[in-house]
Amino acid sequence: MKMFGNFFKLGVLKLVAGVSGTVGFFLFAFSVAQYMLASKQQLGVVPGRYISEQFALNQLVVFFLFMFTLAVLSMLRRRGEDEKAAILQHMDREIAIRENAIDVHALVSRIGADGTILAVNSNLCSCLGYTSKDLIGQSSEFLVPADAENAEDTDMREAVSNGRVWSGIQQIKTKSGELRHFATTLLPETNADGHVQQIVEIRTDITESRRSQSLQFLTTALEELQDAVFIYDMKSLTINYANRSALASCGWTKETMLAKRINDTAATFDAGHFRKHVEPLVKGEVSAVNIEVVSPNGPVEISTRLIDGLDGRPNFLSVVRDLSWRREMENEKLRSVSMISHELRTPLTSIHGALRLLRSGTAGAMEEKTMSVVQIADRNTDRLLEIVNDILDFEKIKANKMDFSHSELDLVGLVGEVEQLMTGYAAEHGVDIRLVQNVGHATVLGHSERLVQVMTNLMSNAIKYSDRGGCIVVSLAPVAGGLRVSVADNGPGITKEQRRKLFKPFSQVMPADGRKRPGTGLGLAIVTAILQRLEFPVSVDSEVGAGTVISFDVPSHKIVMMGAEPAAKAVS
Amino acid sequence: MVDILNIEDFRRRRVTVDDVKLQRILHVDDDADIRAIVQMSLELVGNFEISQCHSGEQALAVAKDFRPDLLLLDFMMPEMTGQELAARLAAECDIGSVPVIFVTAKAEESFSNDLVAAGALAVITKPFDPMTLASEIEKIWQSTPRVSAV
Repeated sequence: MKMFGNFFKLGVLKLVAGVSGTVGFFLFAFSVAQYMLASKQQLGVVPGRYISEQFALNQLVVFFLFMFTLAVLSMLRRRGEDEKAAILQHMDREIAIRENAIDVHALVSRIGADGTILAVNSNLCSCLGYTSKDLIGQSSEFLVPADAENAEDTDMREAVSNGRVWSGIQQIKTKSGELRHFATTLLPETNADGHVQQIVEIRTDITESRRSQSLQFLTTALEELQDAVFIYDMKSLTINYANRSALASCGWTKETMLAKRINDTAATFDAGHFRKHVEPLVKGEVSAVNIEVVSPNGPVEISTRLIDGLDGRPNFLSVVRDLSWRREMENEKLRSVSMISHELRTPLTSIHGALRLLRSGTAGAMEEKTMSVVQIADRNTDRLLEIVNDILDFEKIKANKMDFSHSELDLVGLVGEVEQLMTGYAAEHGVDIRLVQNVGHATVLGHSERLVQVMTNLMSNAIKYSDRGGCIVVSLAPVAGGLRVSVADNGPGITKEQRRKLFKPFSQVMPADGRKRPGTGLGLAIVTAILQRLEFPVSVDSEVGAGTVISFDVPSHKIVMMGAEPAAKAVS
Repeated sequence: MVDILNIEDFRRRRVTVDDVKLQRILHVDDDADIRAIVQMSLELVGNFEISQCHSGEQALAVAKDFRPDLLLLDFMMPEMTGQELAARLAAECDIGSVPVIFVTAKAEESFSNDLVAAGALAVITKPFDPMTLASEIEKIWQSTPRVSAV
């Protein structure tokens, strides 16, 4: 606008200057002639006319003024041209800057009318992993195949071939095969008769922003999760992230959480216990460790994994899940199962009793064939009763209805008694029981009936899983911090993975030989539940093909007396 | 669970168990099959004289004439519990203080302990072994402290 204004002003001025210059020239000539005439008149050559000398001088001044005007005008004109050139230069520079900006910011390429890539900028090359040599001369379909998942493909082709600008999202595979997303604008350049000469393609890589958008979405989901999630540094235990539920459970805000450590989540947090708990995780033996604890808000299950933090440092990821409802459900299930089991007892008593009477011959003599059938029925009634009793026992423990009161008991004697009890069962399976007692006597604090239950379960299990002709070893030996009772078999053994399932109720572990044994899958659950209540720690050692050892330790504070000599001698 | 008011009744009966041979047992159970098993067990295996009733009401009717040495009562019965029946037998039938053994499918120790604390001689839990039931009862009978009636 300013430019055109200048041109306009200069044009008018030139016109005015031209006209006034011409008029001035004639006036000058006229006045010179007059002056000369006047001089002659004064001399008396041409009489009758008088022209003032002053007037002629004035004309002269006017002439010079016009000449001056002309000079000024020409100067002005030159300056105007300079200005015009400067403006054009400025425009050129601006265009160059814009082009440069686009070139620096975006991925730019030019495609010829025949679809050949004519030029690519370095951004495009570095983003896609190609060199310009790789691309120039290739068909544009080399980058954006016609069959690619570019839904707007046809739309784009139609727009561009008609000389219209097209904008949209394209997916392009990099040289390494990674699929990236691009916001693309295609600018067709047409000649005078509307034919597309070339297409300028401008793209922006939006892969990252898309990715961060989806991350944002995931973070929101994590925040909304009902489970509490903590992410904290493996070494310092400083919390790096806690979702909303986690913050709420600790009564923190995002601000007060900063600089808190996982130790601060609970007053009862024991760093030593924690380190021990996550040890298999840190050593890479397992992918996750789980623990059930009772928090002030009820029972929870904490599952912890190891992940890489943003800074590349290892972080623990703990998910805390509320178990109250699950416990409630489990208890409900157990209660109904227990009720049914209870109802089963009375009819089972009759069946069991009737079969016993038949077997004993009290109800009359039987033929051998009949007897063998009765024996099958009797044996299976025993099994059924065992299941019912296991279920009821388990429910009793879970419902805190079982007696765990402690009294002094002779553990050596108790183990010997159970061994005696089991000889029949062992003989049926063709298995020997070996008793290895490295203590002569041991008086411990416990509940004898419960311990008999534990030993019976452990020994019958070991016998069940032994091969015919095999042998189980029951041993009593002093260990650091107490007395260890263990039952070892040389059966098929179990895998490490199965070991964790071993003590779960109703989860009969498939042994390595793939042969399932009869049982409820409750035996070991009852054993652990009892040992837990008695506060005797349990341990399992098993290797596929090398048998299983299940042991429990009587801690030293529960040992009243222990010695190498048998009890009788100790008393005397 | 156990009616405290009955404790004294039971105690009195326990200390007045006579030094007599166990012969006559009154068995009450609403389950006919259990009754059949118990009958075989006590009569054929144990040689006891046994009278059986299917309900508390029936037991109350026959008790005086049968004059049992021992009551063997199922605990869970539809009309009245074994414990209620024991109390009514003691109060309404002129049979003196007859010791009681309860039979129950409830396996909780605390429950059994409560019944014994309330004066029962013993509690036998189902399922019992019919081959050893008679000897078990005999053993309980023998091990009970004997004090002659005053």
